[in-house]
Amino acid sequence: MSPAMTSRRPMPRTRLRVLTSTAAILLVTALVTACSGQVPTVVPDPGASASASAPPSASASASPSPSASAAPVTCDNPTQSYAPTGPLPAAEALPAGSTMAAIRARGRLIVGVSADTYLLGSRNPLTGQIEGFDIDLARAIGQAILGPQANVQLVVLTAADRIPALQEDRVDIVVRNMTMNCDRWTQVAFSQVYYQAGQKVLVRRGSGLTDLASLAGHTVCAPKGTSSLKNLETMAPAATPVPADNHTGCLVLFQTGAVDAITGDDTVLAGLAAQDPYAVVTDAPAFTQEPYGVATKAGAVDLVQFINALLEQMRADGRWAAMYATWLAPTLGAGTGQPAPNYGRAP
Amino acid sequence: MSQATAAAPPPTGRPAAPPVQAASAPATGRGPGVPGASVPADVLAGRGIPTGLRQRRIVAALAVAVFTILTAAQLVLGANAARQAAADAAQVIRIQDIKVDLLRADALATNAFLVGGLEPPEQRAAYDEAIATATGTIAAAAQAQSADQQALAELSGLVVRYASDMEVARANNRQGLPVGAAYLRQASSELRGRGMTLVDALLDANTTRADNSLANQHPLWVLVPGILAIAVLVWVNQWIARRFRRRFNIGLVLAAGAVLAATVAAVTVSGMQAAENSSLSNGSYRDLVQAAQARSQANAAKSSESLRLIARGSGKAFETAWSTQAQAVSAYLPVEATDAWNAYTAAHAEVVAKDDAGDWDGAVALATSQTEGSSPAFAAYDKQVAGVVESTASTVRSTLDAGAWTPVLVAIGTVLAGIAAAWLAWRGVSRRLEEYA
Repeated sequence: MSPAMTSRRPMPRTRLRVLTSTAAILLVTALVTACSGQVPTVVPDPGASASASAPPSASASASPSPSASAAPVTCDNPTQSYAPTGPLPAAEALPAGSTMAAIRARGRLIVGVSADTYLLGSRNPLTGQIEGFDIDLARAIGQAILGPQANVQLVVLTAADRIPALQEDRVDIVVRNMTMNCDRWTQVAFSQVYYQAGQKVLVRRGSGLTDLASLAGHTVCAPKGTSSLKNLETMAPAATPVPADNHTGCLVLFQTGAVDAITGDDTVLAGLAAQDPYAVVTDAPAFTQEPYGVATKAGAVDLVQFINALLEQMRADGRWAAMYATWLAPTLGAGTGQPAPNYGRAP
Repeated sequence: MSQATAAAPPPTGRPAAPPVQAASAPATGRGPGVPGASVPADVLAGRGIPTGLRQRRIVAALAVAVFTILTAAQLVLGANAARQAAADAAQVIRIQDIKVDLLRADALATNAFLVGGLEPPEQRAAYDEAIATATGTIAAAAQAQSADQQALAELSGLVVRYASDMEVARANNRQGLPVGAAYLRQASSELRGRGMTLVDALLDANTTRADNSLANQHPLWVLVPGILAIAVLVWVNQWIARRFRRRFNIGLVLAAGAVLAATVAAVTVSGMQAAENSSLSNGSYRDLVQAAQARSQANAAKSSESLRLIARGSGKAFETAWSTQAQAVSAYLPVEATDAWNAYTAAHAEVVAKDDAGDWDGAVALATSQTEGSSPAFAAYDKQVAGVVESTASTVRSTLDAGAWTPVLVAIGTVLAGIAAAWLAWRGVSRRLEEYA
């Protein structure tokens, strides 16, 4: 046997061993590959998915009022309404062809209200019923049109949905702490002022915040589509406005520390402060006047005149004062009484 | 000893097939080795046969080794894919369970909110159970699939926030404060928004994983290494047959037989797994996914019904959501639950009719009563469809678990057969080589 051949002689056992170990390595590699981790689950980031995955909300149908972004309309008579044509007609003797007669023929009055403005219009969790100053007024209007057993259908609206609901005939009237202003007069009609409120600030007890000026650099919540939010933006531009669906939504943000203060009408803020012992309304005087009116569809002059006559009747028979005593006097004090009417608006 | 003379010495011992002698080969090229076979040039030249044998011995053994590795690896990968499919399907079931439990908890909480005063104790207990089950399943799901951990961690945080907001809502409700409703709305909105975005992303990812795992059986690829190995063995056999007086080399034939047997077993087990997965994909597994969809979408619809009433006249968006969810339920509805679902949709239509007619109190009574109206109808449907989900889930689990170990056993058999075949091929060629020793 030649040396060359010796050197090339195979060694079967060694080679088999090499082959076996190669096989083992390959098997292990295959196993490791097969068992390796998977691609992490991809989750859309909250910002990108907000529009796609947002659940429906009650305010989803609310469109901003047409003039929301336009320059504010000015006038010198925002509280001026249509004078009643006479004393309040009985429910059984409504003028034929009037808006009230049509409502009576339907058998129910549909009223846009709030269900979360404590003391004015809020759902009582113990009874499930909506109650408050505004609700009593709505029922009084219903009784005037439909009689003592009036069927008043309450439709819960967000502030931003008040004007669209009237324009789209989803409601007959809105009694929802709605401020009368020149801008809104171009879209709806108002009764005489049924309550005179003013905008104030609610802060955390001991926070050191005292008035509108002290809010600079702080986050302040107000509901979307309200005059409160607009006033905040114009009168305290250094504050950071944080909109919420409604005032109770603002209280949640306030309680969870997401905002430092809430601004709104003194009536609304009194209702919020009554729900949270750590929240106080500052002593500073109201920085705006917020006259509340019952809103109707624009041009429903007969209905406005009817409501104004009813409000006169309620002033005379003490029903307005009784409503105030029930709902607002315990937190707002004696108050200044039912505002005097301001008539003279031409239909 | 030079290679040129390697074929020259007479064979020692008792060779089974003496090499064809170059000297005896006629000029026609026809030799005595294999009738009809042409005599190769190396034989005519009288050189190179032992070297050729040694080379082909290695080639044959290597071919068998490569076959063994590839086939066993494919079987192990197939077994792994089957186990992965079982794990992925189980994760899909878990995520569906989480979705159902969360939406059920929300449906119960929102419905309880509609009832004035304290919620009924059994409704409260059902809510607590749904939250507890959901959090438990989230933990189990995070342990089962590491790729889901980040999304599940966020979901877990969201559920904790949801439950605590609900407690704040309850505490305020008990004191008659309207801010409770705002906490409930916020909690529900976050759960149905971001919460369902997370759950749906997890469902999508795991459904894709399960589909991929179920489709991850390739019986045809298992066939390839076997065919190639047998081809190499046949080629080596033919090479030897031309040079020795034997048509077949016993070692190579036995090796080819072993490779063939292992290949048939491997292709059979892989093919059976593929067929089983395919029938699962189009059968029980599909039924399971659809029944679970029908359950979760129905719970979302029941929540929408409550939210519509809570919105009290401004709930058009929720009614639109209800319709979309009800359509999804109809698309996935198991036949067993059809009557129960129709009974619920009829009860819902009554609720809507009352609300639209201005009788909100009547609508709420019909939606919250535990004895008549939409709630008992819904509970009956939910129970029915939950039974369908449970039974199909157990079918899927047992089917996938049952077949997971067979490929591993066949892989072990393939390795043993491969080692034997390699040894047989080596020995078979070595016997010819020994004739030159």
